Amino acid sequence: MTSIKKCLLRVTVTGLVIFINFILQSTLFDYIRIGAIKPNTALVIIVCYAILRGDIEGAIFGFFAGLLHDMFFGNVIGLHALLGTIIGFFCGKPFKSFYNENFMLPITLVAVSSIFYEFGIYFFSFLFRGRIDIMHYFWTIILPTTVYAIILSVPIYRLIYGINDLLEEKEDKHRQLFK
Amino acid sequence: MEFLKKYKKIFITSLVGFSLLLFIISAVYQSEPTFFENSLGYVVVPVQQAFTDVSSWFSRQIGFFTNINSMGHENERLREESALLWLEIDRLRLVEQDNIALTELLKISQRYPDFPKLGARVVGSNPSNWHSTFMINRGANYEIERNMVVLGAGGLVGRIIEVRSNHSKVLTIIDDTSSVAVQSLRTGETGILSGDIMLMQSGLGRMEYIDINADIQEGDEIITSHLSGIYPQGISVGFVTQITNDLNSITKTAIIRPSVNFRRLEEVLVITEVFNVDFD
Repeated sequence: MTSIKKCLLRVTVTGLVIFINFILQSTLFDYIRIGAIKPNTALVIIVCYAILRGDIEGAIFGFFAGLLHDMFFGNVIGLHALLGTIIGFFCGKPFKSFYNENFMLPITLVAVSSIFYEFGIYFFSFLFRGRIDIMHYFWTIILPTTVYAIILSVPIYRLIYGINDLLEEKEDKHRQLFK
Repeated sequence: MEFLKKYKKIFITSLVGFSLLLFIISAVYQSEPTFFENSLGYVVVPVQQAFTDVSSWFSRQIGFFTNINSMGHENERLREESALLWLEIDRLRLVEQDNIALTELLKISQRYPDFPKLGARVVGSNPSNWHSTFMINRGANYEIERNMVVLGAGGLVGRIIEVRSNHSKVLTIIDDTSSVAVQSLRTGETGILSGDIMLMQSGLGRMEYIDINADIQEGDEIITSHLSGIYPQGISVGFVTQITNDLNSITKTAIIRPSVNFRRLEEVLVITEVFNVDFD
């Protein structure tokens, strides 16, 4: 396959992953709340994808996943895109120095970035409106969401790993796109 | 793609800069749907609708098995209730006839007109845990406009905050950014029902700024008040479940359980009439 074709395949598949995840999050996941908390699978997928593909692709992925959320549900466009970009970029940083098969890395990064992500949303859309009881928000929303994300991070990482593996096999294993 | 790697820093900076730019632009020009949002709606909404149908079908099937035991009792209870309600309707018809005659006599305009309504289906809800908004499958193509009022089974759901070509976004009354002027049906004591994220999780709202001497008690029905700019007067909002005095000892606060169950919202009604012009 030519380089353009490989690129097109990856873009299509990752686009579909973002799209399907968004659809599931806004419809089906309403039924699988634990307590009142819905899982934030978009974040988990951003982190997993960034770990597997490095910082630039992670940032692009995070940007578009966040942008889709913003376009349909955001109060302002760009908040989730910005957080997604930052998380995708920084979670792609250890790409070169870790084995992809390691599960501790995605779990740790999901935990850290989930807290960052939720605090980001709190900071921009709640703190500025005078909701200053930060610890209360932490215990009731940020921490449960993070725990839920951590629980889901292992199966989602397996899934993304499988998809990425298939794609890399279709492409050339030794000549990855953005490396 | 070597190009991307070469200008990595510039690329990442521009991505972050672009999202910040969008952030500022959309904060300034709020709720002006762009071509992208509109066209993406045509892709997302049908798929979302299909998924919602499937998942609500499954949840109904599960509900069938768990509820079948209580169905008999419920059916009996509902029969009794419907008999009572028919009596009430007959009585109210008489009252209405009286009312029409009297308003004609007094030459005042009808106070509670029958609003034109449009049915809509909920296609997707906000995936974020911080907000309680959802999408309905009617948009500009059905002449929906911003600030139209949305009703559910039993009472007020919220209002339209964004209209796109084939779908629109509804802000529920329990969302943290929402507030509604309400009053008690029994005594007419007024207050502001504002959403609170802590209560939103359990589907409740908070009624603030009630006078300390106000005659309000648990179980009182709360309706939208005449002070409300967006909502017409007299729509059922919910019931008082708890009252606490505020620290300032001038006002008290009540916890309201909305008439509508926001967790299981599948169909809503939109009042296709805007009651007030937008202030911004």
